[in-house]
Amino acid sequence: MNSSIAKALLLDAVYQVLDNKMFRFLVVLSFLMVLPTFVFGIQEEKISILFGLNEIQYDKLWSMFSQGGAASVPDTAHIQVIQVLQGLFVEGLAGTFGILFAVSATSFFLPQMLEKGAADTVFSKPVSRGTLLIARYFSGILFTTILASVMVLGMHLGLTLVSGYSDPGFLWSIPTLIYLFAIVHAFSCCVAVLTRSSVMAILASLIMYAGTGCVHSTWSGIDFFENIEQAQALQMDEAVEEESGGALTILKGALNVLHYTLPKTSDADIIATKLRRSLESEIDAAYVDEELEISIPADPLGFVLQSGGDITGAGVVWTASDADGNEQASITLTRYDRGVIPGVRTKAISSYAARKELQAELKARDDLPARPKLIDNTPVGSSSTKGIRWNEPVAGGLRHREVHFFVYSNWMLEASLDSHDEWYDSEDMDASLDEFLGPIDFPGAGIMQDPRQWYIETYAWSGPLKYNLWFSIGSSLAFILAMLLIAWWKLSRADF
Amino acid sequence: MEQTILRVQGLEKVYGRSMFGKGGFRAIAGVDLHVDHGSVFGLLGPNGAGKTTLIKVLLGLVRGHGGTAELFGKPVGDPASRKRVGYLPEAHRMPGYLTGRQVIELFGAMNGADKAWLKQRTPELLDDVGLTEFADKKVRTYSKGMQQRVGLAQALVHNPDIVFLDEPTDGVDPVGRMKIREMVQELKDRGTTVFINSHLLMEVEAICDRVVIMDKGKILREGTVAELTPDTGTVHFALEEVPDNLAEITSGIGTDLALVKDGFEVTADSAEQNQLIDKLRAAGVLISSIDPRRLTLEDSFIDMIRKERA
Repeated sequence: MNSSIAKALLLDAVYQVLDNKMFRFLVVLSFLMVLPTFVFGIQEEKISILFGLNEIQYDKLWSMFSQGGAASVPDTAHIQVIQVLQGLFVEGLAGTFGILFAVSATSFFLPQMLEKGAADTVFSKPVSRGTLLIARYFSGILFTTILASVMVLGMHLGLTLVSGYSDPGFLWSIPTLIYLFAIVHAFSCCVAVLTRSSVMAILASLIMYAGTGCVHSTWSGIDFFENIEQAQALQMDEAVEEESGGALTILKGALNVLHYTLPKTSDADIIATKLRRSLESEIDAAYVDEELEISIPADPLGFVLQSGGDITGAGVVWTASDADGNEQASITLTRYDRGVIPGVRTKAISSYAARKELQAELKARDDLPARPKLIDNTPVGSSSTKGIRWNEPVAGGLRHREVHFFVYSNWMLEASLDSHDEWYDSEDMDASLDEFLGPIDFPGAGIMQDPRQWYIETYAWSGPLKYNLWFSIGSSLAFILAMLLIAWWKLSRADF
Repeated sequence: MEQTILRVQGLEKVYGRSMFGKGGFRAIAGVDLHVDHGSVFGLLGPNGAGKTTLIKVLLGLVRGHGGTAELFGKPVGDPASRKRVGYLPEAHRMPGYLTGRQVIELFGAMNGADKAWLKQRTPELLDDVGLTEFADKKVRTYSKGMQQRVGLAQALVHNPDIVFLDEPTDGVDPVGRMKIREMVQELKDRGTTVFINSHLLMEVEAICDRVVIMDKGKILREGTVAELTPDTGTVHFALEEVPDNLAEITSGIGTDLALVKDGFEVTADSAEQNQLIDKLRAAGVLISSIDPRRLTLEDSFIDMIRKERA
């Protein structure tokens, strides 16, 4: 395809989009959504309407939404209001209704081209059918890109100019919407080629969108409750009973197949969030586990972080030295999969079980001067550590050893202290370790109450397949490709 | 420029054939055709004869055919074979969201024409089809005739070497028809090969120099218009005034004499025609004109189809 053909097809797409009544309606709607961001100034002390013509104080607003009278207004009230509004927009208006509108407005692109009379003219030109299909597919993407950009950039500009703040992450909703639409639109194009009907393309796309959402919600809901159940059982060191056989197993199996093969439309906003965090995040912390976004605000008192440590390998290491520069102690933080490992363990382990395992190992040793001691729990995130300490005989004395296990999602974290016994006693290491472990920040604290939040935070770029972002993106892109290939296959064999 | 534009050999197309290659409707049943540069072809046949299917196979619109079909030496499925082809489909629908000018520019560009060249070419073409005044109006506001003209313009925008016109005068008023006929003549003068599929046999007779008659997916006859409209042997004598004793004057000369409103018709050879002239003149009858009767294309066509179906 030469450049003049490409330009002509693009221009044709633009004309078709601009002529579309639904598109014009959506543009007007977009402006109506952008307009309030210029009219209402959500400022630090108040909400200003029409550049100060009227004002709403935050305390009045807060008391409307708080139970039992006056509520204290946080310092960052304006930021919270803006973030809530932007969140509502991304997840509700644009993420759901926007996609539905966009699908309705673009589903006719291909059927219109395939109508008798129109197809004859277009397909008799020296342009391959595949090229025309792709051109129409990208017309839809163009349509959504324009709309999403008008809305999001307009709102961002309005909020920045009039309110003085707009969450930069809001801009990520543009690629999110485009990604989401690209999946649904590929399906719509496929149905359009197979049926040559706009109505069928719209209906099937809406069903597909709702269907994939349902499959995903059900799958992640079941996965969440299974994890909760397992976590609770592990907490109490009980065996998790596997339900086997029957309709439920078949249903779960079918759900798994659907989840793995269908595009993951529900993941679009999670991917954008994770991408944004990995590109933007410059968290002020001593150490950040990039993959799980676990951040450690400060080094342990008197310790220095050694560079090049790998938390999933040999571990991230902090060392402490005396005045002469001799290393006295080290703390190593490691993370590993606590789930089932074929041939190694048949069920996931809890921090309690991990400590018990280590305790048994130590008890079996006859070279230890004293029995290992269990340590009081240190709260970390939404759970707490399970620790154990013992003295390790070495040449010329004893070394103080301590290991603290704690769990985050599917991962076991292990903080291991190794120090000279005397040095340990002189430095009040108990308090130092509490101060080190206690403030560790896990993304989405309290996620065990919310399946969605659980899913979001469990998701990672290198997580297990079912929580893997690359797999989510890959399977969705594979779905797009499969839909377009089916459409191309059908189109290339069609008679007009 | 190569002489052979179109070459078809043993072409077959069956619609609705089962997966196992059985059943279906045979729309084209072994067509052989060879078209050289610079002629105007009329494609005739009753409904369902396979004319449109033949054109669609040649344009790559209908797939899965048997036999071979080539345009400009390339297989018809190859988009490159359509680079020098113009096509006005029957009952076409141009994109209603475009203006007439945009339609011409879009399809010109899809044929690979350069933007600057199109800027020059489009106004000329709009003028040729009489749409200059409506060039910037949306096609969906056009009348049937205007849509037909813009359809013709998009088929001709890139100066193709072969043009397929499927019912080109459909819905066009008499003035518009004349204009289209003139355009076809201009194309012919320029050396463009034109393929016309039309039900209007008089129009085909007037425009085309070669005719292909199809029925049941086969070519029944191919030849020049003169070959397909042979002399019937009957001569029409138009007289200033028909005498009462006409039968007596012409008696014994020629056969099958029949009186008509302005004179008579008779089957007569050249010598007999001269005898008749002499006799009529001798009887004081003034002769207005003498026309040998040829079979019209319509008569020839109907006759051929009847024979085929019998």
